Amino acid sequence: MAYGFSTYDSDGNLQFSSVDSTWTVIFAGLAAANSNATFTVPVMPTRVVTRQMLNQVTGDDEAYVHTYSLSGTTLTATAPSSTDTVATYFVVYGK
Amino acid sequence: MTYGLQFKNSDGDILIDSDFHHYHFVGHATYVEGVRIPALTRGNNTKHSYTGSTGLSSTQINGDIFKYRISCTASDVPPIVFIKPSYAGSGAPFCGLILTQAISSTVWEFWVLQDHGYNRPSLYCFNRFDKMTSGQSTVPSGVNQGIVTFNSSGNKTYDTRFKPLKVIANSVTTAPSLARDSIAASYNPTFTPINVNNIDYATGGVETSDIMFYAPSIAHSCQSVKGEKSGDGFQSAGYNSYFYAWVRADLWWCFYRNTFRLYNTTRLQSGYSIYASGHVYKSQEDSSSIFNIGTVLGAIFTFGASLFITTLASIAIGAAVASAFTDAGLVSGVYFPYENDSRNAGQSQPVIFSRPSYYGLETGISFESINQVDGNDPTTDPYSGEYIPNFVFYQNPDVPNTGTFLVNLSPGVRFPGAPPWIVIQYNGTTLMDNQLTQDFRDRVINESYIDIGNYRVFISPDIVLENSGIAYYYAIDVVPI
Repeated sequence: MAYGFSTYDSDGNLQFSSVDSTWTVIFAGLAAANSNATFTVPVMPTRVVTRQMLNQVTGDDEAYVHTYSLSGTTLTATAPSSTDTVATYFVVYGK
Repeated sequence: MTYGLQFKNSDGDILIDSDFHHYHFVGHATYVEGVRIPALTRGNNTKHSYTGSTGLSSTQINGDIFKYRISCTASDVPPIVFIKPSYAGSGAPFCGLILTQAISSTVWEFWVLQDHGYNRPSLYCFNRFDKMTSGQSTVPSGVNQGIVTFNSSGNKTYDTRFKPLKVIANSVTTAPSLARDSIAASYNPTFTPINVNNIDYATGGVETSDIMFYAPSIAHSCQSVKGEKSGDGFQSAGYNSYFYAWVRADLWWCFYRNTFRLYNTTRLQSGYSIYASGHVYKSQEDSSSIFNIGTVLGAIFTFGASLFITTLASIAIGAAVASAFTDAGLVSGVYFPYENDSRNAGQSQPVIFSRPSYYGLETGISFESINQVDGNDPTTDPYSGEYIPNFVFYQNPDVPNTGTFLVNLSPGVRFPGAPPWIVIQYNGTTLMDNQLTQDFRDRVINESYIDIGNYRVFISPDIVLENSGIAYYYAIDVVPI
């Protein structure tokens, strides 16, 4: 490359260069089961929100995951059910 | 940012930012064991009732749950886990991360559900520096050059001496609303999931063998079907002869979890795999005397209508499930939380893609057992090309990563009698890739080992664990000669 930057690991393998594109984890937080939650999330031009159920889906519950809205620096997690919403781990990627 | 360090690419996208805790590779999660939820079956038959179909349907095949663990220093912030499927394509298994839980203050456990194949996926784990164990965050010896960034609190956020999470693509998936559009009533109902959502992604031509994805499973579906039979007759027994009438009600169900497979270099498929399945049935009979038969038949009329409620309410399958789960490490239950519906299926879930080759492929032994293609039209049947395992392998959970496996010589489910095909690999090297002929099976039984290339496959039929007439287990060791 004529300009820009590159980083290499100790084996000489390229890690990043300025022609690469990636997503960076900019926030990770846990919304407790059956509860609403609000988080502060850094702003980046593009963000995506992933959700991950924590703990076992038991044999008989309906196991809803939190819904969410993301606006500015506020990530609002809403429990659809007050009894059957699992703990939800939010990971926000940005670029 | 008012101070710190940022690297951006030529499009202005941030690659490194000292404010953020960049995730770095901390290792492959260690495989612990594989389990399946036991069949949830229970019922009774009366003297004259229909006595067939007392087990699961032939398509109620629960997927394997592979358990993995990795250490970190937090019980509230799990590592980020990518799945590298065992293989990709139209015959590849669906798999999904269905459970993440802290089993101690320093160990996280992950469960991956896979619908078939028994060749388990690899999990690549990433964490931030302040949540790594000392071993994970120790700088490799002799590596003293590079760039390290810190945030305003003085915490290390990026270090070129470690391998950062490098994302190559992303997309968004949802789950189908149901695993199947409908399930026809029969005494062998078909539950095989067929609905899929196709999700396109672009990696610039990276081969599927070098793609892994992060897409935790959040959707699930439960579908069921009911059946009913009834009859009546005369039981001759001399002076004790009597009329009788009977009715039997059945309920089959499957609880599915959302899973994924890499279909090709540009497409991921989102579908379902069976997590739990059950079948309950109940029979009742009235053998009143000839003088009361009119009453009996009248009673049956209402009896049949109420029997489904009676079945679900009165059969204590919970107790049977609890005992069956004792050794499986699973929460007991009937896994019938709702009927013919799904939850979270409409929720958008981003999929993040990366390349396992950035971090080093996991080595070890892998077996693949495949049978034959079903021959259906792939445009209408997403399972066309599915290889039905009728020669399946289990890695010995007590001796992980040693190359000792148990082999189940079960007969084929869909193609009984069809010669299976077997592929054996060791550290990525194919040892065997051909049809499992009778000659091979004879040698397996009659010889203590078979040399395949530069490897010797030891067969140990003397430690048969089970011989129930439907499954025969042997131990297999593969070692370099």
